[in-house]
Amino acid sequence: MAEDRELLPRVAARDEAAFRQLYERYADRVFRYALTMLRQRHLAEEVVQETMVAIWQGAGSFRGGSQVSTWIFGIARNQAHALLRREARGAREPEEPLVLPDPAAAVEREGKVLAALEGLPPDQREVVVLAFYEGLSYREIARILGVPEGTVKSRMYFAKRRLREALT
Amino acid sequence: MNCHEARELLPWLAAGALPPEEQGELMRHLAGCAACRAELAQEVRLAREVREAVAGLPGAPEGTWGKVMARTRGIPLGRLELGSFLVGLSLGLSLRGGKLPLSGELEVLGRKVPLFETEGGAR
Repeated sequence: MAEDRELLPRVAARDEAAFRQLYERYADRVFRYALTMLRQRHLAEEVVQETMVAIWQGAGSFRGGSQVSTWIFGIARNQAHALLRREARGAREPEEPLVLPDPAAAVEREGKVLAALEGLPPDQREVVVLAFYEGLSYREIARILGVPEGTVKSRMYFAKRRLREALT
Repeated sequence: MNCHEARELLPWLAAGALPPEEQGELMRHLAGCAACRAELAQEVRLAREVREAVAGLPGAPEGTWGKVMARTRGIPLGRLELGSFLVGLSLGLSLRGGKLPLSGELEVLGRKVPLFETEGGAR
């Protein structure tokens, strides 16, 4: 299977099969990240679309200075924050809860974790999701967010404290 | 490394996202610090629970790929195929963003190579 890094030049050369592979690898992950940030499915889908269009248009500009995933999540993050700003300016639609109550114990625990995530300030929530769900290092996250590494670490520190309080 | 410095790095160790070059000193600290080992166990549990909860969220809706394709490649309007199963040339006309771009592809033994794509004028 081709590495992400091998797919981008093919996407830049307008290879649809390579583009489809990248989509398959990232669409769900970007959607879930965006959903935790925006809490509305149609907006999360918009983030996926905008991110994929930006990849199609900008694949040739990727210079390899970071992981492909860092580059892609940087795009997704910019799109998500642009939508947040747009929504803040207009009439805001009610946010959807990330999870509906379910009687099964395991699912109930997942629901509690998601509710605890929802309770975090957005800047802490995205650090937690990018680290624990995407497995990105604090350096990669700092690059995506455009903040110092120390800021990422302190956001994680406060996020964990709140999550633990909510989950115990 | 003291406990404060170690605990800053524990979430990334728990997430499997701590670069190898930063793991050595942390591992040495953990070997001699039961309190930080106990902290790590909690971090690992929290990381796993968050990962599983987020992974349990729905993925991108079914129609998203089609929408992405309509915006990048356009909605296909027509295609002309020339040649044989060994070598072929195809010309495609599509509707994309109010324009009608024309694209050409060369296909050699099943491998497609994009040849050109026009911008397409305004409709």
